[in-house]
Amino acid sequence: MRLDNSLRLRKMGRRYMIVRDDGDNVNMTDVFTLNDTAAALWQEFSGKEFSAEDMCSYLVDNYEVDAEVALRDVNALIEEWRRFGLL
Amino acid sequence: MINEFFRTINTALEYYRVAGLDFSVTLPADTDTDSLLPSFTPFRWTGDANPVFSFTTAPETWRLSGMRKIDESDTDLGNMVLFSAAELDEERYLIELRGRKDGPVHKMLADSLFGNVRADLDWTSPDAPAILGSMLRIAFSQAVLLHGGISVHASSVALDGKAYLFLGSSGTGKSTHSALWLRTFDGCELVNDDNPALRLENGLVYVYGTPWSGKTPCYRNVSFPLGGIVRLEQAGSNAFTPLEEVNAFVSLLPSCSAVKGNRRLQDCLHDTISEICDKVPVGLLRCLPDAGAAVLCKNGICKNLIQ
Repeated sequence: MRLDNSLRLRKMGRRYMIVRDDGDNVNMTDVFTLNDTAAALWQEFSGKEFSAEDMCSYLVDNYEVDAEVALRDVNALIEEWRRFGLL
Repeated sequence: MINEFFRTINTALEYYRVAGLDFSVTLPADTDTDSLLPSFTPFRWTGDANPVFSFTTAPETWRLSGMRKIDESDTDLGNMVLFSAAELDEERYLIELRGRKDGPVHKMLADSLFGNVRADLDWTSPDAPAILGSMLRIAFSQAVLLHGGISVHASSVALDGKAYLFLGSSGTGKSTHSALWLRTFDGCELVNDDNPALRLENGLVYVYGTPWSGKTPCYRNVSFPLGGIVRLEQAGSNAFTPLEEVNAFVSLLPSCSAVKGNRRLQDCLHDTISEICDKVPVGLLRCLPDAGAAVLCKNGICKNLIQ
């Protein structure tokens, strides 16, 4: 899978967000907020092909987390990103 | 004969400077610019100009293909429809404006970043001057995005050397709230009642008066450092809530405009809004149209200074 490469991660104060101008819906702009970990994943996997396992090993390498927990979190995150059309 | 010839090819060229950004307007010859665009007179610029966009009026036949409607909106000034199109292989925006339902259509064609704008107005129609003003407002609102500027739908007042912006959807009471500040605080003055401009300059945010001010004739060529931004919502009692970071961003965004689907303009707008929200206090005022709302608002936004 790949992230939607038309989207840009922005830092707003201490928070991260993605602003999506929905071209089909005239009066709609979506603003998604991301926590630090989600933002780190977004940055790491921007512009490349990746799998849930890639994300999982990134988390295990960079955070104090078990592979099992990491995989569960990654799957939930991917599901959410997919639902909102960010992939 | 020779004089006649020059009269027809000659045009009236004027420069204006709004929010520190210059633009040129070319009108048919023998047009009296000041009577056609009276609200622009305070913004005429006679020094060296470095236009961020040029606006030319001339009847033209445009060869457009692949027209696609992007947006349509009704304002107090009439109806506006925005299309994307191609002229030869260049991306263009075609904007059709109507002063009233049964009125003539006036057209404007812009390049993708609104640096070069051509307009074809029906000068026989009495609404042509108002439409010309609207076209310049639209062109300005997009062209300034590349230069750290934003045209904001807001009412703005200045007090003690700083300007404050009041945002809200139409009918919320932006002008009413400005009027409350004018009545309540000594030395408070109106900067613009509908369409002030914001601009980032050397890391500071300034508010500017513009030639567009809705129904209030307040066309002041003035600028102030921005003191704060307040979104207004009607309510049964007065309450002020400071907004930060993403919430501040989201409250400012709907009062600004960048063409849908134009990633460059959208990115510029989002960058500028982010930076503004980082530098100035932003708040939400749920309010009644009373003096208490003005006092609460001032205390809230002036106290909520970012360290």
